[in-house]
Amino acid sequence: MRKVAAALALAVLASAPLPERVARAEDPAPEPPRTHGETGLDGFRADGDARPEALAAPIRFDPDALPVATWGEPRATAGFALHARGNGFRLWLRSRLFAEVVVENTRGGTEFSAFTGGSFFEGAPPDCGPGHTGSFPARWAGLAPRHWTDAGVDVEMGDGDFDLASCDARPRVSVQARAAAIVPGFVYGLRVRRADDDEMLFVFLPRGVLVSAAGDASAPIALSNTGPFTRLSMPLERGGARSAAVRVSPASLRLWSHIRTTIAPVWAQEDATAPHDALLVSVDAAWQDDRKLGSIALALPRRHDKRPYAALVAAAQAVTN
Amino acid sequence: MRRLVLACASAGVGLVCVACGRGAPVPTPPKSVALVPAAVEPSLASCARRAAHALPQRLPSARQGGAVALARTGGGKLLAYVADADSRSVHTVSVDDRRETARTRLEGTPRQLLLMPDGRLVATLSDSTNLVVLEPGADPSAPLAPLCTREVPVEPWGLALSPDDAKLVVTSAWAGAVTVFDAAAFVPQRVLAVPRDPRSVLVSDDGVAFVSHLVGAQMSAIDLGKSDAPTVIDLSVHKATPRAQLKDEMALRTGGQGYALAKVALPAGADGHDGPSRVLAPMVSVDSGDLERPTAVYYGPPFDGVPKEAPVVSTVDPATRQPLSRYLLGVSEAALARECLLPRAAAVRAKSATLLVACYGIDALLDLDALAVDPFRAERRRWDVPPGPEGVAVDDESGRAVVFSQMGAAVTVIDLDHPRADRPTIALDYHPDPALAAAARGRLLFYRTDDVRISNDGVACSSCHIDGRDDAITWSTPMGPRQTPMLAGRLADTAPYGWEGDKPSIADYVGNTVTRLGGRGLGPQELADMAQFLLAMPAPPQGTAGSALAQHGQELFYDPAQGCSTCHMGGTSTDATVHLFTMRTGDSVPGLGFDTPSLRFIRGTAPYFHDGRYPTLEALLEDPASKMGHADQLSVQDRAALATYLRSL
Repeated sequence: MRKVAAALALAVLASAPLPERVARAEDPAPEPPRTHGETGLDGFRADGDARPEALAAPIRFDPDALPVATWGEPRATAGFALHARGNGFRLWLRSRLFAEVVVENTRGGTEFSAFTGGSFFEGAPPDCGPGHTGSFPARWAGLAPRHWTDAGVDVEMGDGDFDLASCDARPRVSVQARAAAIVPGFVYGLRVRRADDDEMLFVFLPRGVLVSAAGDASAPIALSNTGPFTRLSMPLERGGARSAAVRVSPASLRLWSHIRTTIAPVWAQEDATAPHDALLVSVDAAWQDDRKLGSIALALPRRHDKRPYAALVAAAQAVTN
Repeated sequence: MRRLVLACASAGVGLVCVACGRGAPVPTPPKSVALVPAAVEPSLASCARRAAHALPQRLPSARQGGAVALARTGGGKLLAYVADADSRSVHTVSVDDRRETARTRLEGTPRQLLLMPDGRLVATLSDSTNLVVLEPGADPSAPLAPLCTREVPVEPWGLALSPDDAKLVVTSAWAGAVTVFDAAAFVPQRVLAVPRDPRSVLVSDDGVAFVSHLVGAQMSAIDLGKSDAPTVIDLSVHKATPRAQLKDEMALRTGGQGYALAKVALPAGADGHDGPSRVLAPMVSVDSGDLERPTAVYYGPPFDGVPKEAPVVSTVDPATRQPLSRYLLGVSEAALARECLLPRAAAVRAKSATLLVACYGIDALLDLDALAVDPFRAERRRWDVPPGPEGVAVDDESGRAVVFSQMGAAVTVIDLDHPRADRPTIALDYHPDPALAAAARGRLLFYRTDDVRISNDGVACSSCHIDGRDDAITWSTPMGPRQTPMLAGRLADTAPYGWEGDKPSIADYVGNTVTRLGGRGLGPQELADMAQFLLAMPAPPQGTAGSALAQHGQELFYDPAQGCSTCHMGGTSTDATVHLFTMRTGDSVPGLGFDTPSLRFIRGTAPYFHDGRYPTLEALLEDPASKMGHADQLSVQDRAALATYLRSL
């Protein structure tokens, strides 16, 4: 082996490279194939969209600069009630919020989620009322339209138990805080701590018509994909990152605008934009050493109409500039 | 070895199936690597500079090798040195003058170039055991002068310098090794075994060398200041997409195409301190399907929001030596086109936190947000370039990227600050033999992604047969699990083809494969071109059975008592015969026969067997169920000798 290598080494040393234009008596074997100057093969390319292209420079944010709140004693009146009504149900939230409520059916392993003030729900509501006993875990999170500005929005979140006898959820812990704008008017965030100092980054943004989120494989990070807005729950750990890819359609932005400007119920709208044609909002939050770095990228498939997203893009550009 | 694959007892099959299911780790090579020289010694010639003139200087912070290395002349002009593997040359290109000024032919195939602090140029020669040190002339139009060579394990590829320029790190692809040199004296200090197919390397600010691997979704980390063994970082990921079933989301995806590496620093914090850095590894995440369950279609599961092959940049924290995320997010309900499924080279522009990735197949340079957790999710723009973009380097100051296209024999200069500006393309001095035109066309086809003739999900021939070798992946198919066979150097005179040996010619084999991939099919001329290329593609460097251990293994191999050479006969190492045997669980066709595969270059093709059940040759030889002749009855020492010999083939 060493002899072979030594021979090769000597061969290199013995043959000082010559300018290629100088003809040599012992021309080497023909060079291997390639297509000099060709522009590649034409045709037969698959149809379809390429990756969405950036509409604005990425928005960087420091998660540590976002407001921080702590889970604590709940408001006495907080919570919600749920009652069957005909083939449907009615949901009363005891806060002035647009909120998603979730009741985990720990017997059937399913989950019921619904938004107040609208037509968004998934799963079957739990059987409850006289004759039922026990409770299921429940939680809710929402935005308060009052005092909603480009710079901030009030949010309330609660964890508690849904009592099957009374069809009523009472909180064990809750948090009320004001989330700060990451993209003014469109994306808001805040951090929430528990007593053990675990910290969760929450990001609120317009309804995602397609949401992929990176969390633990057995328990993907909580997300809302059913209502008029999307809440991303991103637990931050040193040395790790959390990410979500959210497709936001023009109808999503209309809903978002609607809940900000009115407290009237919102209803699912016919969405003319297929999820893969919608704006891709890519959200990252990473924690390395002592540094946390958040990033939001906006991208749209090429040749798609940018106008419905103009306000969001302008807000993003204002941040990056 | 009368038959390569024989019956396996059902009781043992379950264990085997568990052991080599999806994401089975690519084995760590044995401590004794046959093709690693026992002791690396410097050649006689000094590598010191000989000329007194000033040399073009490397760009600041440019300590990582690539197919393109940039330098600035004393007059401020930007030069590009280009490693051209096809013509075995280094081209010197004046970027500012938009012309090639010199061509230096080498006695080997250059893969990466790296400028030393004083302007000397180091090149790895992948078809040898050498790197060569070159000295530019006073005139940029003069060819480079060779100063010395240094011996390293076979198929040297990647190059990097430590931040203090004191250590030079060299990867050796086929040997699966990394050599650390004293960069001042060009004296080797350490040779370390790493998992198979190391390619690019870079050194972090705290002196840890990170090495990409072509297969196995992994990265190696070597602390240059310590004598510790390399750490292997697992880059496999889960997918996350609303349409995937939980079972599929739980599964880990392996990966491949790990050619490139780059490094980015986070911006300074509010306190003014430098931000931590990240190592970026563009690659392709792969879901090969459930090996316990034959699939309805060939080669992996159908699209469910994340395709079976999807580009991903694994972002590794050098401090923790762990990826920041283990997730690949679905971003579309419809399969995307023009995906970067053959990432080949990468570079970072620090000023704009830009990660540039050169992509074969789509022949494009992608501009990604280097600070995204997966930069492929944050594409900013892309530029088309001539076919086969093999290398990219960035001049941060002038905002220009220089791309070398191997198949197009051209260099493209891209103005990153003015993305719509003209992109001058500089044709390189090259004169291929016209007789090789068919193989050239075949090569274009082989690397072409997104071609509806070849597949229905964008993958290319080289997606699995990476550069004609293999991806170390066992795929789920309707016939059961099938490992990707290596092609380079194994196709001449080894008909019939395919695991089942049912294709009499290479053209038949290719035609059948593209049909299985859902492609519309290639025409006779295209199949002939492809066959020409497959026969012409370079094989891995040939080893030797020089050691006493290997010679003993050779005696055992040809000993009729062992029976190895009964089937693995002759120079091709195959009897070209299909052997029938009972299948293991997961195979859907009982009694199917398998063609005796060639054992040539077997050292670099783990895992082994048609279903990839054995992670190492040793595991194969010692398992009685493999029925490899009587190898299982040999002593441990004899099996080691046999394995050593096999690795030399």
